[in-house]
Amino acid sequence: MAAQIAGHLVNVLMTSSIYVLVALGFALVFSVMRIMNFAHGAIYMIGGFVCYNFWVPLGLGPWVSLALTMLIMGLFGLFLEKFCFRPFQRDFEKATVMAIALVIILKTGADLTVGPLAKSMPPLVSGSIRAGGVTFGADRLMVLLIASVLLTALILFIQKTKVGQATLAIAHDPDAASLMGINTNRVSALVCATGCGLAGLAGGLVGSVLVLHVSIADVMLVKIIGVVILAGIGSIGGVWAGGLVMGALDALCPYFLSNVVSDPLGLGLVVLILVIRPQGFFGHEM
Amino acid sequence: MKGIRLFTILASVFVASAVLLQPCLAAETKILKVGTVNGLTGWMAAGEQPTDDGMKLAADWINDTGGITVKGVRYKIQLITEDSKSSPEGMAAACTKLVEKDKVKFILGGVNTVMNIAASAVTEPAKVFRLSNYTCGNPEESGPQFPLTFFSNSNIESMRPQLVYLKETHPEVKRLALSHPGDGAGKWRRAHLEPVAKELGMTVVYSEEWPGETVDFTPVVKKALASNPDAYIFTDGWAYHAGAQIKALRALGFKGAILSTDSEIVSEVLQLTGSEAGEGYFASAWDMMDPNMRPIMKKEVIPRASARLGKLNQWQPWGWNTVWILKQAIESAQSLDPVVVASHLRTMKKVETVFGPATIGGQKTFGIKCTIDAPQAIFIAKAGQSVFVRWNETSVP
Repeated sequence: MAAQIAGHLVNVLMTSSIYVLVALGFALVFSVMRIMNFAHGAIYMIGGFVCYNFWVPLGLGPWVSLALTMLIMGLFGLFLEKFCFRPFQRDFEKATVMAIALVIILKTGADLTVGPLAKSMPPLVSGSIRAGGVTFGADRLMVLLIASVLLTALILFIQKTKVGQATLAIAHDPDAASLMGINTNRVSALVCATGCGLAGLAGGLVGSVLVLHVSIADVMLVKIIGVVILAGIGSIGGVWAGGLVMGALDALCPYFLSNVVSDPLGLGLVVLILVIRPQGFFGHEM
Repeated sequence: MKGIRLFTILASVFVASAVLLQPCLAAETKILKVGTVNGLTGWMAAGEQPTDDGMKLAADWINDTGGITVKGVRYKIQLITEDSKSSPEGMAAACTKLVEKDKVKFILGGVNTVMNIAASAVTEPAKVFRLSNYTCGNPEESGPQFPLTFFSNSNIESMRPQLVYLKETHPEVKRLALSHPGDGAGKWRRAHLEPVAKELGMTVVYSEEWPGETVDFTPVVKKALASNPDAYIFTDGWAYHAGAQIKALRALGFKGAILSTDSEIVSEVLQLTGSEAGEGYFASAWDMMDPNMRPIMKKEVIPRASARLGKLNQWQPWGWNTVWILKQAIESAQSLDPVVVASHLRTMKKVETVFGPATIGGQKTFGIKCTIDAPQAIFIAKAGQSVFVRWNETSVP
């Protein structure tokens, strides 16, 4: 029984960690720049295919490919911040239109270049681990480990470094932060680069464990918006809780209930939270 | 005088003949507009985009080789392409546009239950002939209430040959887990497969649907494995669904048989699973480049796809088939009236397809003949390659 629970827990944590990796970037960009980056799902998807191209056709192997993907998607994040988001930072409506336009451009670009066929990378680690009568995929454990290390590093960065503290300050009150001498543009650029880098890495990890397809962009966008709403708009720390809830629903519903109920249940929960507690689990009252 | 009279008579005969023979001598070519609706975007695009390409290739081929001739009049096919966006709403909208704005009388395309129901809701009342790419065997999408709807493929036709091959190669298999995409037709797929399985001494112990947009199949597969199956069967879906599930199955330590009673192309699945995880997977499928394919594949489909599109895709023959079947149905009926064409197609003994001669079936299953049952081949994954096993005659009873 304990082994069964452990098996489910591994799945919940792995699914949740992917959602948190991607949702954190989305939440950070919103907190710092007050922009809903609807293109974040597409960035995750493109990161996956970038990683695939390094790993399989170019034969660079998993670790170099993942690192390069983070770097390239991070640079793309810098580009996005400077040319697509910064000009519209104080105008929510224009920024939203820009984000939507980005989604269309990125997804159309992916449709034209990648096409409709799915891709997949070999597992990071081959084989299964058998313990107490339950089998775990070794690659899923590796993904969980990588995501945990990165997320821990991010938390420490935010809590322990000046730049991290500056990020929190801007998220709390951008005008006050600016008056205190914090270079908000530089912090925004770093946040955007980090968010895109993490999303791209998540795409690469997913491609090795699961399968990459252009349509995963939309699926992920819906998930991370749900995570952020559950967490509370503007709450970075609450993304963990939101990710855990969404990950648990997706990992457990197909097993204990039915394969088709996890999405409706997740979205139903989001709607419920919006009705009874619009600021989410950890957000502040607006 | 006599000479002038003779000349006048001869001249009159000549002029009269010229006037009367004019229709026969003139190379009259008209346009036949045919609508096509496939999922060019969305989760179905993986198979439907190349299917749409195949339709265009076939239309070109038919036009290049004389078009469609009906009562002495030659018609060139003009395809009007629409995108279903992989959704039933998109399907209905596309069909509505084709019927009401473009005034087509023939529509090609559509896969799975929800798409077919959405399409037929538009085409049947408008008396438009529709040849769908696929039926899931759900009576809500095919039956006497849809007299103008036909299916160039079904997921029933290969169930028996695949289970027979499973029995031959894995005699120890007794317990089957069935995996279906979430289009509401899972229970029908099970209903068609289960009697055949029982006949061969096998039992269905698990049967569930999953949403088409599913990315992580691990929970789905875990639940199936809790039933201790000996074999895991895909009854429908695209290669990436099968590939993702095979990866999850092998990661969870499943060592039993994995197969498809449908057409998840083996070479496409291997690209996702790798040779080790995909070893032994077999499907009722095809491989365009395999020497065991019918001559038309090598003579026409592959050269045209290479020249026009610069690429081959295993779903191009699917699309090719629908246009070719339509041409044969129209020419056999010698009519452009959809009702006449439909009635006539039902009586045809044989229709040529890229997979060989097909029969028209479905009377017992659907209460009306509506499926085009072409031969299917079994391909199996061996050492990272897609290997031909044999051809099977197929039929939908």
